[in-house]
Amino acid sequence: MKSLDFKYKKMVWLTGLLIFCSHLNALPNLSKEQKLKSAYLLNFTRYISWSDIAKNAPRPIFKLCLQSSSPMFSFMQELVAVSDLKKHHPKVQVVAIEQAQLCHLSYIQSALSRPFSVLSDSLIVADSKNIKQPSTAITFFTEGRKLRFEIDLQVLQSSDLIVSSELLKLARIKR
Amino acid sequence: MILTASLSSNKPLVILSLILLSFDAYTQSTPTEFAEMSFEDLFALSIDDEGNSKEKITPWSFVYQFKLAEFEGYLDDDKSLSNDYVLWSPGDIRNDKNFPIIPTTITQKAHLVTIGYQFSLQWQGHLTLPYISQSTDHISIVGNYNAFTINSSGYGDTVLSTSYKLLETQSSTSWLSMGISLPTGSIDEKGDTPRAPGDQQLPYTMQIGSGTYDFPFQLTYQNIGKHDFNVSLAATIRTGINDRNYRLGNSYSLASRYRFELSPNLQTFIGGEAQYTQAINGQDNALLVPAAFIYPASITNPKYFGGKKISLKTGFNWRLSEQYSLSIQVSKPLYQYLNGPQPKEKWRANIQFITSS
Repeated sequence: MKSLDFKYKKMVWLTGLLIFCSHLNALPNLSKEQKLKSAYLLNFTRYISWSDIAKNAPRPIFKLCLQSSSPMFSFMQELVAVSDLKKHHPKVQVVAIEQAQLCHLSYIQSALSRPFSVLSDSLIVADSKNIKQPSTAITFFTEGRKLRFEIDLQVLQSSDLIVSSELLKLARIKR
Repeated sequence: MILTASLSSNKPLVILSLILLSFDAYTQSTPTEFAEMSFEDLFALSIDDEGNSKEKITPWSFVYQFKLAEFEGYLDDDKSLSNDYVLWSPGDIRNDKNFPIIPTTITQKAHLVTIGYQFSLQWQGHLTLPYISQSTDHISIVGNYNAFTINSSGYGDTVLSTSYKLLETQSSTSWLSMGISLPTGSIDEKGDTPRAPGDQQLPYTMQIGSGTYDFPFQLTYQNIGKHDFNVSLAATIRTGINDRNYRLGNSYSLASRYRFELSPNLQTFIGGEAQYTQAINGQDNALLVPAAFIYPASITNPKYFGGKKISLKTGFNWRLSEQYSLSIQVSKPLYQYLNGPQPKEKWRANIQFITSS
């Protein structure tokens, strides 16, 4: 009886281990489109130069502000944590727009309930064309089931950002 | 200690746990995977949700194709010849353009299975295994063979190929594919012909393989976006001489296709192809007869192969699901200039079923 009890406990323990292992790596329920957008945002930080960041030493800190769903926020944090292992990139900090005091790049996923002053000096990236946010510099759109982005040159030129020609080549330009 | 004991006594369960862990990690598209992606990598990915298409992450792809082609009537250069003209009858003057035996209709069917593997975003590998069956109707002046049909079938030449993505931008992609065709198809197909009693070596058109190591190449440019079209340049270069003392001609083609989107899952297309094929080099002496005119039929003369063709093609692609698609294409030559007399192509069709990432 004692032996059976031990076996039973062992089975329960191992079943638990099995379930734990199979879900250990599970990510929050986030669509691939949102994951791709997160990866694009991370790439934007590498192809655009912010003058105030360049002055920071030894390793600049980049403030990436998100107005997004909770799963995307978590995913972005994980993405940045993995990317941060490569020390040659700027250190990126992911912050919620609502709590931010400085934003270099701001991602807007849905219409903002109120204006945020931190956006005035920030490069704004809109989730889609449905987001009507003034001074949006980059807007995501889909074409042939692939994610693309549009850059508003007028907005960019009015800022003091330096955008890599490589990035401009990949973008659809809004003039 | 208890943990160690449990793990060792339940090794299969632990291994299963680890497999599940690694499988999950693979299919979930982890932050690690996305963090390492460049803009080029991101541009190549579709937005299709992995939850709906776990298979999309698999590097394997599978394509089944059924090809059908029919040849009927004769051309000498671009001049049409009747069967009566090509069939030599006693009393007619025999020359090198008429024959005592002529094929009237040639039907070729091929089932091709291609297994693909994506090594990286740039490299893909493919293995293609064909099964070919052919049927040729003949008429002749030989007694008991006035009208007869010969069939042949078997596994054709196996093709191993690789594709390299040369360029990918927001609006275009280009690929270079190259491969090797291994001579696994038979060149010793035999059948009952009027040439002699019993079975004899069949003509070149009835053989299943080439008998030589051949090298297919293809360069493709695909424009994406408002105008969805592609242009491809292809060649099959054949090398050496096979065991029956001949080599099929090299072929070169330039093709283009313009696609129209009828709905998100249904596209139609129209296109054209210009093709040039060389005549056969060498000769299978088993096809000859001991007479003044050694070729009993046009398809036994290696000079009467190859030529130029311009074809029009149309069809549609139907995206059945995220993973499966079906494509149907028909083509008809608009212009043919053949080394002849040679049976001319009437039409061809291609049905393709694809499962891919």
